[in-house]
Amino acid sequence: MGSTKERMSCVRAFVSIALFMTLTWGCTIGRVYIGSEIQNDPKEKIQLGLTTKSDILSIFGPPDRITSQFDGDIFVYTYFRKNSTQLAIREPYITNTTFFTYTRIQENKDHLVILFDKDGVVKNYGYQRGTQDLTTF
Amino acid sequence: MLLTGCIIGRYYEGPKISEEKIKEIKPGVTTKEEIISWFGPPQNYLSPTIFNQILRELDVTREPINYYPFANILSYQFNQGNVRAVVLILFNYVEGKVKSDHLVVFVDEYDRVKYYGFYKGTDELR
Repeated sequence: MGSTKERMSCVRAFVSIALFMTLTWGCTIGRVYIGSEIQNDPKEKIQLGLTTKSDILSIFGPPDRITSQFDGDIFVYTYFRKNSTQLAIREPYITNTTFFTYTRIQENKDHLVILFDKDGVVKNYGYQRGTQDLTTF
Repeated sequence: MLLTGCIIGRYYEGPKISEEKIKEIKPGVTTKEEIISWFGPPQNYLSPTIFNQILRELDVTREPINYYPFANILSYQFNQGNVRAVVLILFNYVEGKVKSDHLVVFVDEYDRVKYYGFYKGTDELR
């Protein structure tokens, strides 16, 4: 036979487990990746006034979008990522109530835009790497 | 208490692009007719794929991805999407990846290949 103190601690543990089972918490993590990462560092590979459209196609592959301007074409490369995290605390058995929900959604893209002149030589480019700003949670 | 579930989904769209034929493309030699006979009708001549519509929904591209208002660019795209999810009571993890094989061929005024680009994005799903 245990002492009263031991019995009380058993009851406390039982109540804690029952409470934990009643108040269910759940965590959902989502990841979405669309497209391919931009393969090379444009700063290393592109030389203004020298790199041609053919070079760009062999270095970076086909662009996701081509736009024509009066003074030359524009190639656009995009890599999209989305991270989502959700934490919810709910009681699903009796009241079916959600007490707390925390949701965090982050979307970001890597963008490379290359401007060509009429002869198909790189005139300028812009590169923005947004996906490295995404956090895990 | 820890009931587990696993979801795996695969999505394929468009005709596969023959890598053997890509090796035969020679700028200045290969004609537009040959490209069309090897790879079929270019997708930028057809309606946008579901994948491209999703991209527009997600605001990844504001315009149709294959909408090139030029007759001298031929575009071919094969898309593959993989979805996998682990569903537990206390923890869920969902991951979706969409990758593309993409071939773009630029044709000169004599209907011969000027230059081309190919990227096999679906290899990243392995």
